[in-house]
Formats: sequence, C-alpha cells, structure tokens
Amino acid sequence: MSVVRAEWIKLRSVRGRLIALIAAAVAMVVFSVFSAAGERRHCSGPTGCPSLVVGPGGQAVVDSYEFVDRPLAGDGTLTVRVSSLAGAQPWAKAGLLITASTEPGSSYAAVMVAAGHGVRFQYDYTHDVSGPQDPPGAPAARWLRLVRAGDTVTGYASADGSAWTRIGAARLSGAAGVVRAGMFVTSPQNADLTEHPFVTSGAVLPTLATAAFSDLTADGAWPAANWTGRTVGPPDDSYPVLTGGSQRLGDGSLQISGSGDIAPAVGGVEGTGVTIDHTLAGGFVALILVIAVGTLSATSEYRRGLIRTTLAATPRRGRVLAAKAVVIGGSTFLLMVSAAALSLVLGKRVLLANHDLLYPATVAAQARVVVGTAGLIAVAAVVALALGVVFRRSGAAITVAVVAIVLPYILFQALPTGASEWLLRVTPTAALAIQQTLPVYRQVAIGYTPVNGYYPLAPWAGFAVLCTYGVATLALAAWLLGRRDA
Amino acid sequence: MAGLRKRFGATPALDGMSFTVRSGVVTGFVGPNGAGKSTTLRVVLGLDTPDAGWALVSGRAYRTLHRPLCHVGSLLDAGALEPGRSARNHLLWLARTQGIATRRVEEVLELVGLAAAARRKAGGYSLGMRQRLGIAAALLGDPPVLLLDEPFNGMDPDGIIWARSLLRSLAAEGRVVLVSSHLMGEVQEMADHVVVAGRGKVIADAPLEDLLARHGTLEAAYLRLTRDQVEFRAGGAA
Amino acid sequence: MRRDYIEALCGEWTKARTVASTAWHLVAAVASGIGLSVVVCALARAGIGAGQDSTKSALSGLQLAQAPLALCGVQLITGEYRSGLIHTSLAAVPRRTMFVAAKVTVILGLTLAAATVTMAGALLVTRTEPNPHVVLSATLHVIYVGILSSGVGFLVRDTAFADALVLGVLYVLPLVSRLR
Repeated sequence: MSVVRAEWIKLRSVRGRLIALIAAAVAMVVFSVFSAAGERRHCSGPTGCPSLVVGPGGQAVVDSYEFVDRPLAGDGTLTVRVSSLAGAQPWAKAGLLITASTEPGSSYAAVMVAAGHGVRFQYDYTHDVSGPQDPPGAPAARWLRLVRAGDTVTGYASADGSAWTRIGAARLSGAAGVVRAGMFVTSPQNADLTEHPFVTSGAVLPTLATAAFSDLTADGAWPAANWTGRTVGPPDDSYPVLTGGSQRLGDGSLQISGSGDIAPAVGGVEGTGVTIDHTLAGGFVALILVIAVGTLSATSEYRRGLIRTTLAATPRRGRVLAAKAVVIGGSTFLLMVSAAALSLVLGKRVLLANHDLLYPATVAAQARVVVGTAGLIAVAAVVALALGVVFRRSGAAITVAVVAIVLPYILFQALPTGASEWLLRVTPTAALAIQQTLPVYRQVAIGYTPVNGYYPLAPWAGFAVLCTYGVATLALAAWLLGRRDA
Repeated sequence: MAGLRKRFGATPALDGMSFTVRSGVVTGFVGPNGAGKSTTLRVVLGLDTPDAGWALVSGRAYRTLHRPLCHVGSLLDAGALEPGRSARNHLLWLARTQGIATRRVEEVLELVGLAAAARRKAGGYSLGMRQRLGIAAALLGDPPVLLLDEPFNGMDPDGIIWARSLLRSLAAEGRVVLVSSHLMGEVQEMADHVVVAGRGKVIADAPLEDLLARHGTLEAAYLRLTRDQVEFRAGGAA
Repeated sequence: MRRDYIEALCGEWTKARTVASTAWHLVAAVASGIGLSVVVCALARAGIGAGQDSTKSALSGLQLAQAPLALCGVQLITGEYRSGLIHTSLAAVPRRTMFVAAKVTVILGLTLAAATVTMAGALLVTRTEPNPHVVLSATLHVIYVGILSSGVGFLVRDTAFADALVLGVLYVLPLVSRLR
C-alpha cells in the first residue's frame, strides 16, 4: 500500500504527465463531440426528418408491411392458406398477423411463411420461433392459423388444413380490447454490397414480395366490417419501401404485395440509425495519450537512472511493478469513466440535435459501454507501462502498444470479413466488442461484420482478450525486472 | 554494530572484491575508472546480481530488508531525478515507500540546505544542489549505514566543506560511512580508513594513517598502488 | 551558402548513419511493409479482389511501414535534445534554418529511400502491375510522413510525446474523422 502511495506521488508530481492524462480525458470528450457533430443527417423531403420506431421491448425496430385486416373485438380464430409467395428475399414474409394497433412499433404476433426460411411464428419484433420442418417434396402451399384468447395469441401451421401443429404463443401488450387481425406481406431491403479495403460499395434497395391467400375463415367476435387494405409504416424514409397493394383475383383468392420488414433495427450500412458507441470516437485520441503516459512512467525512470533509487527503496521488484500498474491503471480508469460518461451524454444530445436516429440502449448497456471503454483505455495504459519496462525505451514501447491496439482496428477495415473477424478475436483490439450494443438477430439477414459494428466475440469476452494481453505483458515485465540488473 | 561483507566470483567488473566496512569511521573507497566501485555499491543495494559471492548489510541481504532505507542510505547518481519533479516531492515518494512521516522530509531538506528550493523543479538544480538532494535522500531513513558514490562532484568549496563535516559527524555517531571518490585530497581530509580497488579487486584495505606513513600522501599511495590497474591511460609523449 | 548547406547535410547524414537505431527503423519499415502487403494481397486474391485496385492492395503495407519511418524521423531530432547533442550540433551549424533544412533533407531522403524499397519490393513480390496514380499518391503520403515527423520532432522535443503525437496523427486522426 505504501508503495502505491509512493507511485501516486510520482505520477502527480510530474506536471507534464498529469497534464497529459487530463488532456487525454478532455480530448476524449472534445473529439467525441466533434465526431458526433459530423454525423449530420440531411432531410429536406416533405415528410421531414425520419423518427425512430421503438418496439414494445424498448429497442429500435422496423415496422413496414402491407396489411389487409379487420377489427377483432374478443377471442377469435383466423385461418388461411398461403397458396403462393413470390419474393427474391429469403426473409420475404406472408401470413397472418394480430397487432394491438397499426401504429408502427405496436405489439404484435404473426405466423408466416418466409420465402427462404419456412414457416415461422414471430412476435414483438425480436422473437422468432421456427415452425415444423418441411418434409421432402412438400407442397408450396401452407395453411396458417392464429388464435386469440384474451391477450394471448397462438400460432399454428398445417400442410393440409386438417392436421395442425402449434408453433408458439405470445402475450401482447396493450391488446386487451379491440385488435387488428388480418393478412400481411412484407419484403426486406436487399443489400448488394462489395467489400473493398476501407470502403464498401454498392446499394441497399427496397424489394417487393407478392403472395396469394385463399380459403380464409374467421371465427369469433368479429364486429361487422369489411376487410381493408392498408400500408403500415412510418410516413418517412427511415426504412425505404416500394409501393404495395392488394387485389381480389379471378379464382377468389386475395393477392397482396408488400415491402418493408417487421423486425428489430440493425446497425451498419443497412441500418437506419447510429449506436451509442458513435458518441465515444474520441476514445482513440485518449488512448494514444494514455499509452504515452503509461510508457513514460516506466521509461523515464530508466532514462534518468531513477529506477535504481526506486528499487533501492523497494527491493521487492514485483511490488514496484504492481504499484505502478495500480496507480496508472486506476487513475486512468477513474478519469476515463468520467470522460466517457460525459462524452456519451453530450454526444447523444449532439446526435439528436443533428436528427440522427440514435438507437436506444438500456441503462445497463450504456453503463457497460462507458465502463468498458474506460477499462479498455486503462488496460492499454498498463500494457504500455509493462512494455516500457520490457523495452526500457519509450519509442519502441509506444510503437508496439499503438500498433498492437490500434493497427488491427485499421486493418480489419481493409481485410475481407473472415480475416477481420479473426483479427478481432486474437488481437488486443478484440476489446472493442465492449462497445457493441446491438445483438445479432438471425431473422434479419445483414452482414454481421465488424465494419457494421458487430464483433465476433461477446463484449466481456473481447475485453478479456485485452486483459489477457495485459496480464501476459505484466508477467513478462515482472520476470525481466526481477532478472535484469537495474 | 553494523558490518558489511561481500565477496564476488569471476565477473569482468568484480573479480573477487571482498572487504568489510567498520562503523564509527569514514571509509574512503578509491580506485581508477572501471575498478568496480559503482558496481560494488549496486550489488550491495541488490540492484545488480553477482555471478558469485554475496553482499550483506548488518548481516542480511539487502533485498530481504524491511524498509531498507532505514537500514542503508545511498547516493549512486545525483542525476537520477525526474526533471519535472520538485525536491520535496522526490523525497516525499521515497518517504512513502518506507512509511516515513512527511515531517522527516522537511527535516532532511533543512539539514542539507535545500529548504528554500524544495518546491522548485529538480531539472533546474545545479549539480551541487542535486548532490545535496541525493544526500538528503540517503539520510531520509536515518540509517546506520551510508553508501555514497562521488558525493563531492560538482559541489562548490563551501559545499565540500559542509559535506565533509556532515559525513564525519555522521560517522562519529557510530554509523558506517562508505564514500567513493576520485578526489584524493578530499578522502585524505575526511577518511579514517581507505579501501583501494583495481580491476574488480581490493588492492589495499588499510587505515589512512598507515598509507600516509608509507607513501606520504594518499595521492602518492593511490598512484603507486594502481599503477598496473588503470584501464584507460592517455597515450603519446606523456 | 550552398557549400555550407552541403556541409551541414554531410554532417547530418553522418550522424544519421552512425546511429544503429536508424538502420533498425528502416529495416523494420521495409520488412513490415512488404510483409503486410503480401498478406493483404494474398487475402484479397483469396477473398475479394474484384473492383479493388490491385496496386492499392500491394501498397497497403505502407500503412504499417509508416510507423517505423515516422519514429525514425522523430528519433533523429528528439534524440539530440535528449542527449544534449543539440548544443554541439548548433555550435557546429549555428544558422538554425540551415540546421533544420539539413536535418529535414536527411530525414526525407531516408524516409523516401526506405519507402521506395518497400513499394518496389511489395510490387515485385506480389507481381502487381503498378498503377502510376496510386504509386504517386503513396509517394506523396510518404513525403507527408517525413515532414510530419520532422515537424513534430522539432516542436515537441520529447521522444515519447512526439512518437505518440505522430502515431496519433497517422493512425487515429483518420479513424476519428472517418467514422460515419
């Protein structure tokens, strides 16, 4: 403990180093805010700036589809046969849907045929249950059924309309009274992207799917009303769609064309908004400064021969290194937690003022991003300190620290996805996973790549990779410090 | 009674260096450049590991001492300072490692005459002031053993006189005081006992009086004893 | 005037080539640069390739090589301040502009030479037909690295902070400005 206090006096009594640490915190806030300010969204259309659609779970969602529906006042059952579905997208969907309201972001449950993924039961945007597997040579047509009992909706599927399989059930929120029930069709946007080093080119375009429905039966508390066709979705271009519609065909079946998606919003080029880690871009600037301070707290002692005084005062050398690591890591962490929290608060304001769609994140996720980012920078400082002891020269130590932590981040944008995911698993840059707030949803087919903000490791697992490097370099430094003549 | 013993095997710097320093007197440690004086002190302080042999302070290895600065005070290199840190803060962090009170920092600053400049950055100090700061650091733990490497370098005449009387009085209190120096005049003025080293060995380990009786002055004794031990000598007509 | 400059240049050149760290930095730059180029080209040919200028892939090693090159430039300047050699240098070449010009010339020369070897090596090893536009822009970037490291070296004078600043400008600034 006394050694820790001594190292703290050493740190705070060299003004340049203290200023550099504080400058790192200030730079983090300033660069973060500037970077957030650069993400201005220009919207001059008649609908104004798009707004974020938020689902019942509090997350950003996409809610655009073509709907032919009737009000349902009490319990009821809806059965239909999807006789055809034509759509290029594997996640083009056609089926039955019961929703609390047709306001985008409402609670819903739906049973559907997905063009490339068979029968599914989905509810409240994030939940996806797979239906019975198709036997070989199964007919293209599927029977679907939704049953409402109170606020619970249950989905069934059948190949022939007589033998039914229950897929799943969901409780809808805000669906106690009259709900809307009917047939829907939607088709997500198609990304035709090519990866190049540092740039991804191509276009993300809306698509349209068309489905034919027949043999519709509705039992239960259906007030007298006609089936009404409508396009559900926000009246802005936050998720571009093509114009859909519905028409009665000659054989009595109903044909519906729809465009859009009913799913959680995703990040990256195919997403509509930005995630909260976009308020922490200044962390890289802080990282460089902190690496310099961490290195110097070791190498300056070697340069002046002060290391001899230090080791004469505390001959247990491992203890000296541990105290240095605690002081540099601890003070960096405390400073950076405040800087990251301030960056987040200010950056969010700037992004919202710029009409950017900021994806909501839970308080726990935001706390994890702030604490994790500060931890990342603090561990980097400790790595730099250990490298300073190993190399005893600031130039080599700083270069190795920067190249090891920052270069993989630059390289992964220049490499194909497979190689960049590998980089983000084994290099210290893996710790950036701590900033990921959007989960991977398999019912939305996008590139879950590092460039789009999806890391190959879980947040704390990525952080643990960096910590492993920290422990390894500290161990090497301790071994060399104990073995070498001072 | 503090004692110091060490012996080393075959290393290029130290080749069987072995001697004991007594308490109560000032011991001068002299020898040509490269004789192994500084290496010897670094080994005593546990900074360098000898290939063979050992060095003990008060009968114990330095690296096993609890609060070592309260057992041994040392000055190796007066320039070993962070230029941006003040003298007071330099002593303060040292004091913290030993659990020494802040009051003691002010005391030693007063003792070496740096109290007025204590809050200035050490980078602006003259060499003499740095030596005083180094002596202050050595005295911080009020240790019974003092090891000082070239403490007079860069000091003005007043400073040398001050340091000389300080070291003599410290020895008179019963401490072990070992001072390495190239200034034969100073050692002759101050030391009671002299160890002469050359090529990593002890050449002479004798009371000052004996050396003076035999050679007249310490300088003459030194030149005679180290004639074959000097590693670097100016060539040419001289 | 011109002879003074040439003499100052000779002095700086001698200083630069008689420090072991200079050679190490340059060797590290060439080796790491060619190495990374080979890796990126192999990956690009295996994975993507279409639409990407192959010369860009072949010269991507400069992304890594620029670090040792910049640190070499910084070291040649801050090393003098650290050791106090700067006093001797300025005593020998009292005209500051002359001294700075000679220093920057040597740094630029070394940087360009090492970068040329790296680029030529990378293009040869990866058997890439060079696109002159890409080669020209890479060369300009290397000149920028040389001038940047000299400027930061003279302004900051402390090796650690100058290194951090140069690496920050080279690696982190583009990141901060490129994020969406």
